[in-house]
Amino acid sequence: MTQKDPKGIVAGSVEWIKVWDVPYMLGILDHETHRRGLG
Amino acid sequence: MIVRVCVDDSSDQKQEIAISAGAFLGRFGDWREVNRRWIRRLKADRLRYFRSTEYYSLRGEFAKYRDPVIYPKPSGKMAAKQIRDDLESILHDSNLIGVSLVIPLDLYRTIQNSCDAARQIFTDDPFEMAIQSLIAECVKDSIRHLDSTRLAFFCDDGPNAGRISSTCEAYKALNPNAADLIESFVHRDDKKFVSLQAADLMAHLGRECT
Repeated sequence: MTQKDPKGIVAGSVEWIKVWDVPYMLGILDHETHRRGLG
Repeated sequence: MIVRVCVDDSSDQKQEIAISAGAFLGRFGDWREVNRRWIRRLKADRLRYFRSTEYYSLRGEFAKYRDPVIYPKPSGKMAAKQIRDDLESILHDSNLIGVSLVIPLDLYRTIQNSCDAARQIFTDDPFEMAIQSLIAECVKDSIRHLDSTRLAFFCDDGPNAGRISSTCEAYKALNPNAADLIESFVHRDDKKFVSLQAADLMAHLGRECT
């Protein structure tokens, strides 16, 4: 996942904002395909 | 000791660009101070609650800022923004921890349609995946940063309440070890609970990052 810098005043209290990206989604696909025996 | 986690979701109206799930985590004392200051700020403008959709559209609780006599353009929008800025400052000054997870929907649908297995894994409801992923990240945060403190989840009792609950139950069934850290998952009226209004703000903030 890509970590983004939060915008705005509230940023000081924000620990993280994570955005799903291609490598992360492909990781989920790979993991779940094997776990569920879909491959 | 229990950490209260207040969760909310956000998406663009047509659910074409992105969906996000946001939350604020905090201990009871941290929430109490935010609660006191938040309500006092809203009362100063005779508002009962904050909700992002009503803030952006100047409807509902923010409808009075559309009055062209009292608030000639753009003063109504500016007055509303001042309130949101002040509420953000309250969060900024607090010890609460804000988190947000965002799924870009064009990417989601591209991966979803890439093969048969992906169509089974990435359901037609990315909302469920966003909530489940956020819960998983909060559990990780508890293990890493909060001495594995148990988490009490709250979300609003709106139209998505049932979906969020069933998503949480599905997550617990698939992750029995993590489930031990989830104390409860309950719904409350966001108009009455400042913590849920803060979560709503966090969910929107996450989506604004895309």
